[in-house]
Amino acid sequence: MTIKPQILLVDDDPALRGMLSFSLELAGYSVTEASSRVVAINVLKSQLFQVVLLDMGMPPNEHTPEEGVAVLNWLQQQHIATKVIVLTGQQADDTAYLALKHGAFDFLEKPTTSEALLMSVKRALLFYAQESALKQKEGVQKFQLDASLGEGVKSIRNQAEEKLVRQVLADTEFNVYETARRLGLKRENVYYLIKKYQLQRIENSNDSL
Amino acid sequence: MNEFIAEWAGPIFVVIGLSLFFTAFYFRHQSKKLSHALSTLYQLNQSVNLDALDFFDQAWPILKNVGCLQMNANIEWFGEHKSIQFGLDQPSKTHKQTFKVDREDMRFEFVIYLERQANASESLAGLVIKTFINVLEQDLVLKQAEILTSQKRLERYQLFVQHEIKNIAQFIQLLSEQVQTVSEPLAQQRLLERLKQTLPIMAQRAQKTVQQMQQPLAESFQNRSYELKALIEETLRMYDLQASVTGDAITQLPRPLVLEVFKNVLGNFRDHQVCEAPLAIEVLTDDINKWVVVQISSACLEDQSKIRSERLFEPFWTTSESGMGLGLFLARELLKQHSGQIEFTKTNNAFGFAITLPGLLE
Repeated sequence: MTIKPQILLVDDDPALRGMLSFSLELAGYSVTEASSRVVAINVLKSQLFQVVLLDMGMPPNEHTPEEGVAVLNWLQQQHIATKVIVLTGQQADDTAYLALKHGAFDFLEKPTTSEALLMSVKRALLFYAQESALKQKEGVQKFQLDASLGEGVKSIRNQAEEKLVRQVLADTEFNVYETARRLGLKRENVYYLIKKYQLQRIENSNDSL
Repeated sequence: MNEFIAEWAGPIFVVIGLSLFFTAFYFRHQSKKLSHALSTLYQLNQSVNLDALDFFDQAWPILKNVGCLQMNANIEWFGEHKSIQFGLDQPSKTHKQTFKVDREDMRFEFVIYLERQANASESLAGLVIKTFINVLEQDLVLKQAEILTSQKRLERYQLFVQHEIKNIAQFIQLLSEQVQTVSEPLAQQRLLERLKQTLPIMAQRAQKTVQQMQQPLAESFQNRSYELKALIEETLRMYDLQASVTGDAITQLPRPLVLEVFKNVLGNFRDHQVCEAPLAIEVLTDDINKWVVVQISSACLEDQSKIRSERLFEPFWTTSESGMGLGLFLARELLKQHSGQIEFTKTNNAFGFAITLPGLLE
């Protein structure tokens, strides 16, 4: 039996959420709904999703992308592999720029068609699957780094180091011994990096994928 | 020599004394005249509600009284041009001074003709003109700020309508596609079940949007009573704020307006609170005056030391990098529309706000 791909749908509008989740369920996906940033992050702490469909404007900031950006940032820190598709009714240019800056995979502007939505989800799942395969077969972890030009390479090196350690720690459920083995480091070095980047285990983590 | 001094000393002292007396009298008179002119200028400005155009139009008699003979002005007011002359045409041997006061789309360029003796910079006329210009500048700054506030409100309103309409359009788009593509009886049944849940919510949302478009101030919500405690708790959930809410009251004030007030006030606690202590919110009723007083208190004393209470309600004043500094100002403005008020409160153990709302229902 094939496991259905898991999608988290984050939107404050219950009616729209209902229709979007129906479209996704019809296409064969398993959908979990969240009505706000707080609910979304709580769900993400207890379950892994391949794709998150995210509305940027939610209460208490319906008209600014603040809430969506907070979810994107959390995912960048804790679940870097998850692909986020932003679906929003806010100013397209400004919000798309912000979404991309904070690690979104794709951007759709409301109102969009089911076809465009499902195409984007399909693409995100494909990328997720291929990146997972790349990691398993060749031990390669893909990262997105924000490199500020003209500031040397130290910050880029630190950023890469932090993301890598954070990701491997998440993969090993914060098992320092296993993390050290996978990274080819001594345990002391891993402890040093945990302290340096103030990395913490996610509470209530119960990964199911 | 001594005889000469004895003969003239008396008259000389009299002349000097008289000169000093008249000089003192002259300065006292000028000082009273200046004081009167300045206070009349300020009173005029208050009486025209700090409106720059009205102030400029009505200030001429005061300027004339201190020695101004004529004033020619060109006024640009949001793209409209107006030329105006006060006083009669003057002979060429008068002194003229040119001034310009402007802010964005508001500009006053004017020439004042003065009597010869009034031309000195520290003369009575000079001081009154200087004050006149300062008041005019202040009025323009105020007008500029008012416009900015209105623009922000309008932008907020547009964003609201845009957000709602896009959601409604998205709903209809998906519904239309699903009705066309779902063919299996089981899927059709599921769609029907889904629509039973979602359509009433969307219909309510569409109705709310139409009401907002017709009446942005949501007056249509008047005469519908509701519980204040439920509204406060809704706002707390929205901001994920911890608070104990005691007491309750039923009010008829427009719900969106009251919600906006609490969003603005509680939003400040969310944005600026640095400790985890829950807020204490008390809903008190004054049955005699039919008032409801909502006291919101925080025990985060480290916050209190940073607060500059005199600036809390000033528009565009904020300690937050992302905030616009309009929250408390707008809350106060909204309450003023309905004879309500908001005050900063402080005790040894807590600080917060007391919100007074009229329209308490039995």
